[in-house]
Amino acid sequence: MKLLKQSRDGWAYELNQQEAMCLRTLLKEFPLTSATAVKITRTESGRRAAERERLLNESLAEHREELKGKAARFLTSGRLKAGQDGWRLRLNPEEREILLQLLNDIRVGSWRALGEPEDLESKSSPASEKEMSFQTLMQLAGYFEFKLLNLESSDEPAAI
Amino acid sequence: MPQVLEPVTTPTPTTGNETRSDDELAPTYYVVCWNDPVNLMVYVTHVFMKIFGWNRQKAQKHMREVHEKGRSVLIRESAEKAEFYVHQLQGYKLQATMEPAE
Repeated sequence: MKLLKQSRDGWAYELNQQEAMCLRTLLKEFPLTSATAVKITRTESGRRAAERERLLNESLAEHREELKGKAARFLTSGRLKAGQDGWRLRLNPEEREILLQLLNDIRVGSWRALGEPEDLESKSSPASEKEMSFQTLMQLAGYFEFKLLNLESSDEPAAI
Repeated sequence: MPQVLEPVTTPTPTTGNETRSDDELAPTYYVVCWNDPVNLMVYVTHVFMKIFGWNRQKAQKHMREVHEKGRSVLIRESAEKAEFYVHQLQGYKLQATMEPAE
């Protein structure tokens, strides 16, 4: 994946056949996993905190539903299409933001499905085909996130 | 032309027990981002820049704090605004919470 052009209006990337297929597969997979309830606080309890938490989870569920529609539209929008010498991905700032959110949802969802391992670099082989699939999807999503955000920099990808 | 007379008594400004507005009395919250092994550093930096409008340097400082200390206090805000920021951060799948400031 290469950055071809960057302007105020957006970005143009070149992808090889394999990258294009992987990106399409990732987006088709969304949402990969079911939503996981999240906490809004680690110290507060009581009715108000519970209500805030309920609202947060409702809002995240709505957001995910919107992302699902956007993923489907993205696949048919022609933003990713075959050119003469490879594939072209064109994104405006809003589309890049959506794509990043979709990819990270897949990455975090896969990580959760793997049991939230601390060590992502572990060389131990996955226990099942399903685990292998989650591991691959997590790595692929991270690959595209890194490329979208960091093509101009020489930093190595790393998790926080 | 009417003459303006000096008032007999003049108000004395108070310095001790000023009344504070409702906003000042309302509880405030810290928006905290917690470490996890899955979110990429470059992604976390990007999200902080996007949501808070910070420059890269400030966003990276907080990202490193999350990475090295396990968490970073991102901002102190009213309950409503803190809740808004947590919704935004969680929308990007960062582990963010709001914690009472006092």
